[in-house]
Amino acid sequence: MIAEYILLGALSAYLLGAIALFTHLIVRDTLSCRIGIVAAIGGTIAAFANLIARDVTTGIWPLTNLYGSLTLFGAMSVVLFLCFAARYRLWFLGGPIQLAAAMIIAYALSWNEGAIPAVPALQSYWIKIHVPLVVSAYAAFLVAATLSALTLIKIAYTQRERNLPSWLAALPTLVQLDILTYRIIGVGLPLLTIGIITGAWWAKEAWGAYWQWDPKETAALLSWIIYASYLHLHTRRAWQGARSAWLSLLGFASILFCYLGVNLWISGLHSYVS
Amino acid sequence: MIATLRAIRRLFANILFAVSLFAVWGVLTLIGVIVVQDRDAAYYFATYPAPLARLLLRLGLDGIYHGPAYIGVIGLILASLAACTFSRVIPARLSRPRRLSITHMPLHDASRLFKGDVSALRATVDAHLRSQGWKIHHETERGVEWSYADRHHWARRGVLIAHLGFVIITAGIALSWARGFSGFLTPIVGETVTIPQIGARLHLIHFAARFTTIATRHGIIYQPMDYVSTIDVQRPHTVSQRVELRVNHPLDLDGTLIYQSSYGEAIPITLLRHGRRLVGPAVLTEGQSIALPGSPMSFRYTRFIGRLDGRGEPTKDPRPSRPAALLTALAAGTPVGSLVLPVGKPLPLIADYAIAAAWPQEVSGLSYRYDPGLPIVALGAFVLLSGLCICVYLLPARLYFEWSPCEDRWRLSVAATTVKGTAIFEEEFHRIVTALGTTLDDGDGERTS
Repeated sequence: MIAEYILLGALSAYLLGAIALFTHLIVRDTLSCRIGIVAAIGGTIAAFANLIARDVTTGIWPLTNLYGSLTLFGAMSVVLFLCFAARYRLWFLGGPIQLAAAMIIAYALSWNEGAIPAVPALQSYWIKIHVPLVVSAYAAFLVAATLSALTLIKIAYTQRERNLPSWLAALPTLVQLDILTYRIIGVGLPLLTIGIITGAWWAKEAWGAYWQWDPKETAALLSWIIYASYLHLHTRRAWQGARSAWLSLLGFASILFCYLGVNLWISGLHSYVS
Repeated sequence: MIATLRAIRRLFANILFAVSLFAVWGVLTLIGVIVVQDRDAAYYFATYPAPLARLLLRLGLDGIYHGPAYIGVIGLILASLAACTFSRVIPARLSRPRRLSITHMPLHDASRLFKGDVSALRATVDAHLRSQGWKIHHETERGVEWSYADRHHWARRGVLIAHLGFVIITAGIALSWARGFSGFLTPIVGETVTIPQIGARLHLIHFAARFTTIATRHGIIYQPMDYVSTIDVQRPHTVSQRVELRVNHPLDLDGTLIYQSSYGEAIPITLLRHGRRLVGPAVLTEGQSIALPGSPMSFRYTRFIGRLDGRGEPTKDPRPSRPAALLTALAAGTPVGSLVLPVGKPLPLIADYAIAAAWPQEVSGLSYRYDPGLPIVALGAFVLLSGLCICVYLLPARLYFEWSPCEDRWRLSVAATTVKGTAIFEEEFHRIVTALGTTLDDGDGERTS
């Protein structure tokens, strides 16, 4: 119960942070930026505290179900945003990212079924390696998709109007947004690759084959194919900008399908996750 | 002929062609995710409208991953990858340093003038860049001093390494197909089964499944916590060995791994006529059928029901206490209905026939696999990942320095090129130039503009 209150605290912090950084995006003041950053850090600490509290109080690794993995997804999205924002001064991203993190955590709360022990296949040390890696990859792709969406909005405004709204004009140039998206996908794709490899290794131990064409692993392969295509196409100048941004959004749609769609709609070896 | 071959090679080396193949691969994979794979025809007719089921079966979409289209696309990707590797990746190298016009390069800095000896100035720049991992080359022509600094030149091979990883993985998979084997055994307690490829006999002594009952917001769930098979393993020419087999802890028999992968309940089913035994008892595991003699009817054991409630309805409790079997009635192989058959209570069928079930027997689901390609696949995955990281994180770049005399001073112009365009390097380039300016100001040279 305490863990759930902590997570509600994280949700509130992310909502506050989202409002503050949306304000910062529009009025460009320092105070709202600082409030947004502090809320992002506080919310992330609370989300991780929730995971630790659940592990300590129940003795069950918290990432065995959607409640835990969605909590980590939301928190890692904000962690990656903070890292990238600190490195490249991208505080404008904080509004949409923290709003997404708040929605993810609200959805996670709806999956809280209490302490449920793991099924035998999940009673493995691999769960402590594979799940955080894959969820971190998903988080990186969420940040990339947010950047891509902003890129497309800016392109749409640029094509229609001469004068951009001030908040849009204050964003990095289209070329810079494209490079930033490439950089964050450059973080996500190796993580996804390692996640698929560790998952295959675990599958070999649990089910006897490293690849069984299970819907989950095949959907992960589909996402990998899309992001690998992104990297290949990004080498061509004609594909940088709007086309790359659309491809990044398609990749994130495939990630959502792999993460939630397969769990909820398609039965397979990973069905226990839901 | 040669022209045609060249055209084909150009096509396969084209990156858009490779990505188109990726797109086809992706679409086929997506179909495989959405359409349940490797079931019998009856399943598809029961799940989808008849025209769609016929289409799925006719196009082979029920086993897409083993179909010629899927394997063909992967083959084409390998061919494209090879063509691209030999015609683009291997020949690709940073061009030989050439004295280009600095101002014509997209990424260049405004010229600055420095006083002092050019050798000393250049040595200061060289020392600064070398400390950051740059390799320096020098040239002099017509009084103009040129320096070139290269970084991560070797990282241009990252694409080659990633492609090589893909090829190694494919080779490992091919070896597994050629030399490996796998199978699935479902011994009932007390039964002995054999792995034909290695002649090992597995006698199932005991099977235990442990469940825990958990009250959740959406009702009670019965979570399996552990399932363990106690097995006597008899390999040819060796003494019998008793082992306990658990999930995530496979047994290694000379390279063949045996896994505890599932469990179930077998049910002895008997067909009766006039209350007398006609067929059986046949011990059926889930998916097996018993035929009604002299008719096209048969009954498939579809699912085990652990407990029926007071009204005879199935509950979610999988532990056998008031067990039953869910049967699917088939007429000439086509499902025509289903029935719940409680253990110990015969159900009347057509005419004088009846069907009865006896107490269930535990079944252990054991899979076995020999996969000689596994180490190669693992190596390929590591190589692929290494190549990917090299491509993404190491940016091969070259800096150009032109030292030209200008009265009693030296004019320094700087520019840069990379293999991924200039925008990606712009920020770092300006940082390097600023740092160089500071270094030269601190050194012997005197900056004058």
